[in-house]
Amino acid sequence: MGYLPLEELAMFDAVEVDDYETAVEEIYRLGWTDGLPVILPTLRLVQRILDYLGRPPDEVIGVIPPYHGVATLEKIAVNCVMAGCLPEHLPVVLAALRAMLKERFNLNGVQATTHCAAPLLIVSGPVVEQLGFNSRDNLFAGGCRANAAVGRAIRLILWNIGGGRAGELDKAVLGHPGKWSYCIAEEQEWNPWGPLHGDRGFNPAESCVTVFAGEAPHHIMTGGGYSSPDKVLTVLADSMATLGNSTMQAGGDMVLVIGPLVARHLAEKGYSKSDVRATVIERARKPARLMKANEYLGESHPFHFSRFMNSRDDEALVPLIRRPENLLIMVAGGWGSGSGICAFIPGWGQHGGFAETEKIDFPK
Amino acid sequence: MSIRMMNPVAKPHREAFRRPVRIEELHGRQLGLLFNGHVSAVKFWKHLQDLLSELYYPRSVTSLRKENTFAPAAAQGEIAELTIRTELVLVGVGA
Repeated sequence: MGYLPLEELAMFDAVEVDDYETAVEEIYRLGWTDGLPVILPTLRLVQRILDYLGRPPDEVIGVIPPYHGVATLEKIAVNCVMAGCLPEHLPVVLAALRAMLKERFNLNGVQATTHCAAPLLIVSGPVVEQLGFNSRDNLFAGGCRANAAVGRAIRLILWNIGGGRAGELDKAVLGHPGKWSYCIAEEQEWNPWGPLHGDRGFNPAESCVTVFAGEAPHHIMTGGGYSSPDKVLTVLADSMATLGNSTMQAGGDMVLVIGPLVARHLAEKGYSKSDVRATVIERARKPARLMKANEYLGESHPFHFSRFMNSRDDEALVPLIRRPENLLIMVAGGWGSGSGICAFIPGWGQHGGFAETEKIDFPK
Repeated sequence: MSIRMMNPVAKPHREAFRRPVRIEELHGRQLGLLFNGHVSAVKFWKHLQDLLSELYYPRSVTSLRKENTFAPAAAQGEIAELTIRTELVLVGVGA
């Protein structure tokens, strides 16, 4: 796509231009953005973030693959300014980066794969209200600076420090719109169960961010305002177990976003989150004869379903979710109508992108 | 008035790399093959192994498929095994 080489672009600290119009075009010429416009990263805006953090600008947070750019606080701050972040958004961005740099996340693979996966950030805990993250209407869409800017900052960091440039090191065949910005928050007030990070071993009273490499969200109309929990859970399970998604074929994690209306309905009928998880896992299955229609992995592959069950029995039911912890359940979205809207997000199989959670630490 | 913009692009991390001594021929050598898990890779590397054996007579061929196509070979797993059993390894890169 005609980008300038990153190693050449990294040779200078700053660019000086005569006016605003030139600055905008220079940003595009240098390939500092993936196509969307950005805020001009002036020294004053970058310094405002560094002052808030109170840490050395050359502190290294990590090395971002596949270009293996050195992510100093200053470089992260520059990208956060471009994304529209406020200084208080930085602790969320830094926690997400720590999560993404864990080995199980396999960021190198996530950045370079032909699969469409993009890191999804799920913010949970008191920080959602404190910083104004959106956990309700238009959850995955626009309307909220915190969601948009934090998600966008991660993308620009992956672009400018990690070198995940479309058509070069990022080989995604299709990608998806979450590659612009992909950050949501979990609902607290309308959530009848505990927060997502509580399920993952963190103190429910703390603020955390969970990162997971996922496809675009898939919409589910459950009829949750009218139907019995039994029917709702059947609709959820059937919608999730589709032959073409990587989780079905190669295991790994999947996120299920349950709308607040459905969550309340299930909770009022006595279903805990564990009950929901167990029922969905039990019902989200495909017969082996259908699974065999998809040969992208091949039977000899270590992740193929034949490795853990008898594939000769065509009627044997292959589970979508191989371990209970592979299904992440969260409550979010608008109240909506009785149609009881939910969503699921398949992952990237066991190849990587496993959910990782980090506590958000604010400056003292 | 001019505008000064900070550069968002980072310098890459560099690690020292020692170039190994080149092996001049495969005859009588312990050869290793390391490849990913794609269906096409499995077929290709089996064919390559047969071809190399037929043409160059290596003493042995150790053929290993990575556990995870999209992650580096494990230092304590595949790499350790190849270090013990081979003198030269052909590695597949890409899908």
